[in-house]
Amino acid sequence: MKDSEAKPLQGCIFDIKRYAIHDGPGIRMNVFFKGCPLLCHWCHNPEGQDPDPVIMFNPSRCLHCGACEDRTNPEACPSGALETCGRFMAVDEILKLALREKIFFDRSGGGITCTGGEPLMQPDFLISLLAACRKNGIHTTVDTCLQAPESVVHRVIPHTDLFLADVKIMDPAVHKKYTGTGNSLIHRNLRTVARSGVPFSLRIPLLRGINDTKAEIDAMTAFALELRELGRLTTIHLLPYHNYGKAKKSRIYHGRLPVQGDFSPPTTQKIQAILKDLHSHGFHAVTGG
Amino acid sequence: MNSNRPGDAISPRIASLRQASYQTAPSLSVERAQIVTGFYKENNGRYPVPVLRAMSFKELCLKQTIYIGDEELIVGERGPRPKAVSTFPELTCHSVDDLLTLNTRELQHYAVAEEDIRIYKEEIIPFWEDRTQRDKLFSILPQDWKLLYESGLFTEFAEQRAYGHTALDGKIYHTGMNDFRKQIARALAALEDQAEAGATAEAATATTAAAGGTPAHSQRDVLQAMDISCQAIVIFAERHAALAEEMAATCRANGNEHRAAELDEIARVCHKVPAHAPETYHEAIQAYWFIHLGTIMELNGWDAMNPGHLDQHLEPFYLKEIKAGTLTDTFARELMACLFIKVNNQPAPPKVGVTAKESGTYNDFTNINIGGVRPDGTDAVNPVSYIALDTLEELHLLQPGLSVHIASCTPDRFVEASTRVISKGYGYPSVFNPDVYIPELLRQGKSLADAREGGCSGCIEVGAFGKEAYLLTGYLNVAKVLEVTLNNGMDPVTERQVSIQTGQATDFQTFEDLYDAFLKQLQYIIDTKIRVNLLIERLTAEKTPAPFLSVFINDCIEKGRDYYDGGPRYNTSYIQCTGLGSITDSLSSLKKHIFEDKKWTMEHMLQAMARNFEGDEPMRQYILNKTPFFGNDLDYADDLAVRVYEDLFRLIDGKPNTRGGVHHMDMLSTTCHVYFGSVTGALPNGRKAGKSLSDGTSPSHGADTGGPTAVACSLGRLDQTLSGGTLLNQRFSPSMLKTEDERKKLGQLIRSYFELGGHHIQFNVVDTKTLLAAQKDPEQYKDLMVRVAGYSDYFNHLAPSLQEDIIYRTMNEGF
Repeated sequence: MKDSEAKPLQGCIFDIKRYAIHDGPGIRMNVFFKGCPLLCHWCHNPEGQDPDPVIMFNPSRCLHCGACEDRTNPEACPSGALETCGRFMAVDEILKLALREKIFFDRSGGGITCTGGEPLMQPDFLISLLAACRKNGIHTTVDTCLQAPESVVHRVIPHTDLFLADVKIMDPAVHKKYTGTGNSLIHRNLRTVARSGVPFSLRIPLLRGINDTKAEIDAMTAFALELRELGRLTTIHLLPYHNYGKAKKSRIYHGRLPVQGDFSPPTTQKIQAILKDLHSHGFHAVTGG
Repeated sequence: MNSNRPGDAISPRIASLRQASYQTAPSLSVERAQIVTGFYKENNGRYPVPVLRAMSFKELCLKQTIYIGDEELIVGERGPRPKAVSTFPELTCHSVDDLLTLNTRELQHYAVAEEDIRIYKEEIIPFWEDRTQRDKLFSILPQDWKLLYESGLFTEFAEQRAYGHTALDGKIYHTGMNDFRKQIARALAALEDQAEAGATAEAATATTAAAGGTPAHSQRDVLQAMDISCQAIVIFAERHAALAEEMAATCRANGNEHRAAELDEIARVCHKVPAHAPETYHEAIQAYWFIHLGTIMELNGWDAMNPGHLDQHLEPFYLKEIKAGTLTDTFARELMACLFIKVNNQPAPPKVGVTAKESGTYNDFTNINIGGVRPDGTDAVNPVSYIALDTLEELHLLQPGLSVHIASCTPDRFVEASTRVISKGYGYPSVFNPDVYIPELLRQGKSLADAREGGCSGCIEVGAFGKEAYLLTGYLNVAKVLEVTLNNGMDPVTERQVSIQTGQATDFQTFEDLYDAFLKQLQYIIDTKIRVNLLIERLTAEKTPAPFLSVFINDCIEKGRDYYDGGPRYNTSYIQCTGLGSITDSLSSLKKHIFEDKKWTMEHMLQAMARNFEGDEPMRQYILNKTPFFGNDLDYADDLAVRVYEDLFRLIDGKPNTRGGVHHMDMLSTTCHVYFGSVTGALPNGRKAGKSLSDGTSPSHGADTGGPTAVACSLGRLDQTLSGGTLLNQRFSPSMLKTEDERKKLGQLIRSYFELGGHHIQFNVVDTKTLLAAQKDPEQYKDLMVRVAGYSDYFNHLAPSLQEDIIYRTMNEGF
C-alpha cells in the first residue's frame, strides 16, 4: 500500500458499477474497494482480496501480438486480455461520478454503496468519501464483513445511512476454516452497528452443507433476533452460492491468489424453508440483493 | 417459451380470432389493383386529378369484396380477407419478377396466386407502364441525387409508397361523415361568395403565399373530391351493414340466435357510423376502424394510420356506458381486442429493393399512444389506458404497436403496469416522454393545445395529431458521409466519385480540418436530398392527392387544399439521421488516435480501413478498447455527439418545403442502419465493412459498457427538443427484471432519463442464450418477439444481419 500512503486521500478501487440495483435501496453506484481481511473460499470477487492491484489475464481475448512485452505491460494490451485490476482514485473523482448519477439516486431513493473487497480496510479514504457524499445529499451504504478494528467501525458509523453486514457462518471454527478468521470481532462489531441506530441488513451466503444446517440456521436466527432487539435490522438477504468467483480467480495472473473451494447452493426447497422460518419470526427476508 | 403465449384472461372469441390472425399467412390480393386499373382505363384524363382519385376510392368502396368473419364484432378489411394485402399500381406497379420474388423470398413472404400473376401480366402491368408515380419520379431525378442514392448516402420514402405519417385527433368521435360534408359544403359556399365578391384572386394569392407555393389543384376540385370520399366511406360501411343483415338472417334460419343478435348489432353500428358521430364505445371503435381502413385503401402511406391518443378518445364513451350499465368492462376489453386484431390483420404493403431493406417487416407501424397528458396538460391515464395495455399484453401480436407516455404527472401505478409488460420480454410497449415531445412540437411552431394533442406515431416521430402532415422523406447515412469525406468525395465501396471534393484526408493537419471537410460533405449531401424532396413533393401533390385523408386533418377543408399540398395546419418534412453512435465513435477515434496521440498516421488508418482491418486486428482491438465511445457518459465522446447532432440540426432544420412548412431533423433508423451498414466500408471506430451501424440514437453495439444510467446521461447531453424524435434501444437480461423491486427501479430509470430530456426509450428483455437458440432452432421460437427499431417483430422474421444486430446490442446484466 505504498502508493496510497503517499496519497492519503486516494483509495484503491477495482470497479465502479452504475445502475446497481441489488445493493441497497434504489438505483445505486457501487464502488468496489480493493483488499479484504477475510479469504472466503466462495468469494465471488476474488480479484478484490489483494489490497494491491493485480494483473488479470484472459487468454480467450489474447491476440498474441506481443504488445504487452511478455505480459508485463497491461496498458499496452489492445484487446483487454491483460488488464490491471485496481487503480488509485481520489475522493473527488468518485464523487464526480456519483454526482452524475444523482438524478437516478434522487428519483429512486438510491445512492452510493461502498463494497469490495472490504471498504473498512481503507478507513480514511472510506470516511472521506462517505462524508463527501453525505455533504452532497447522497445516501451512503457500506457493504462490509465487519472484520475491522472496533475503532474503525465507530468512526464509520456517523457517515453511514445503511450497513449491509455479512453473517457467514455461526460456528467460529468453521468460520475460521473457510474465511481465515474467527467471527467474534465481527459479531462484536455487528452489535455495535445495531446499537448505533443506523439501519442495517444482514446478508447470508448460503452454502450447502456448511451453513444451511439446522444448527447454523438456528444460531443465525437467534443472533438476528438479538440484533433486532438492539437496533434497526431492516432485511435479511439470503444469497445462494454461485460460482462466478472461480472464473475470475483463474484470470488472476499476477498478485495474491485466493482460495476457491467447491461449493453448491442449498436446494430451492431448502431456501424456501429457511425463508419461511425467518418470516415466521417476523423478519423481512428475501433471496438475493 | 411459455411466456410468449396469449394471456389466460382472454375470451374464447378473442382467443379464436387472435389465433386466426396469428396463423394466417400474408398474401397478395389483386382485387384493388383490378378495380383501380379498370376505373383508370375508363376515366383517366376525364376529371381533375383530386376528383379522379376520390372517384377511384369510391369505386373501391362500391366494388371491393366485403368480409365479415365468424365471431367478429369489429368489421372491415383492407383486402378481400384478413392479411390479404392490396397493391397500389398507380404508385408502384410490381413487375412479374417482383411478384415472383414476393412469392418465393423467405422473409416478408407474400403468397401470390398464379392466376393473380396472370392478371397482373395481362391487365395491370400493360396499363400502368410509364404511368406510375414511380416512373414519373425516376424520370425527374437528377444524376447528382442518383449517385448519392445508389451509394447509400440516403434513401427515398416516396420511391415505392405514398408519403405518410399521420395520426388522428379526437374529431371523428364527435363528427360524422355527414357533418364533414356540411363543413365541406360551407367551404365550397365560401368559395362561391368570394368569387362573387371578386376576391378570388387575392384570396388565392394569400393562400398560396401562406402555403408556400402554387396549389397543385383548384380548391373547388379538392373540396369536391373530399365530399366524394365522404360519401364513399359511408357506402363502404353500408355494404358491411347489408352483409351483416344477410348473415344474421342465415344465422337465425340455422337457429343461432346469439350470433344473429350480434350481427344485428354490427349492422346497426355500420348503418350509423361513420355517417354519424358515434355515441357508444362500440360505435366509436367501429367508426375509427372504417376511417383507418379508408385511409389505407386510398393510399399506402407509410405507417398506415394511427388513432392517436385512443385511450383519451374512448374514455368518455366508456365512462358514460359503464355508468349507464350498457357496457361491461369485460365487453369493453373484448372490443378493444377486436380492434387490435383488425390492425394485426393488415400487414405492410409488399416492399422490394432498398425500401424493403430500410423497412424489412410486416409491421405497418400503427402506433397507439396511451397515457401522457390531456390537452389541458393534466394526467390522461384513465381506465381505457389500462384496458389497452392489458389487451396488448394478452394478445401478444405483432400489431398494433403500443406506446406508453410517461409525463412527470403520470401516476406510478401506470408506470409499474407498463414495466410489468416490458419485463415480459415481448419488446413492447415503447415509452415516450410528453415533457420533451411537447416542447419539440412547440419549438416547431405548434400551438400549446395542438402540441399537447400531439404525440408519437410510426416509430418515434412527433406530430400534431389531426393537424399535421409530417412526411418522412428518407434516411441519411451520416457515418458514410464521413467515409466519403475520408476519400475526398469518392465512395470506396463502389469506387465512384459520388460527392464533392473536400481534400485528401492525409492533408488534414488537425481534427478541425477533417471536421470542416465532413461538414462540407454533409451540407452538399443534405442540400441535394432537400432539393429533390421539393420536386417529389410537388409530384405527389399533383399526381396522388389524398382527398379522403384530407377530410380528417385540419385545416384541409377550410383551406380547400389537400393533405399532401399544404392543406394541413402544419407541414413538416423530416430527414431521419442514422448512426449517431457510429459517427461519434469514428470521429472520437480519429481525434484521439490520429490527431492527438498520433498513435497511427492518417495514411495507416485509411489503409487499415481499406483492408477492412485485415492484418490490423491489434489496431482494431486497441480502438475498440481504448477509445472514448458514445454512451458511457464521457465528455470526450459526448461532446462530439452533441456537435454532430447540432450540425445536422443546423443543416436540416428550417429549410423550406413546398407545402408552407419546413424540414426538421429526426433521429430514427428503423432497419435502415443494417442496410446502410451493408453499403459502408470499415469505419475508424473499428467497425468492419458491411456490419450494421448504430441504431437510432443508441450507442454502437457493445460500446456502452457503463450501464444504462451512463447511456441515459450521454443521451441526456443532446437537446432532444431540436429533433422530431430520438430512439434509444436498451437490452436487459430477464434476470434484471424478475422482481417487483427490480421493475420499479426500471420505472425510476425511465423517469430519470426523461428528466434528463429523453424523448423515447424501449427495451428488449431477452438474454443472448435465448436469441442464439432461436437462431439455431427457429421452429421452437416462432413466437419470440423482439424490439427492432420503433416497432416489434418476430425474431425469426428478421434477416440474419438484423438478428445479429439485436444479439450484439449490449446487454445489461446483474453481475
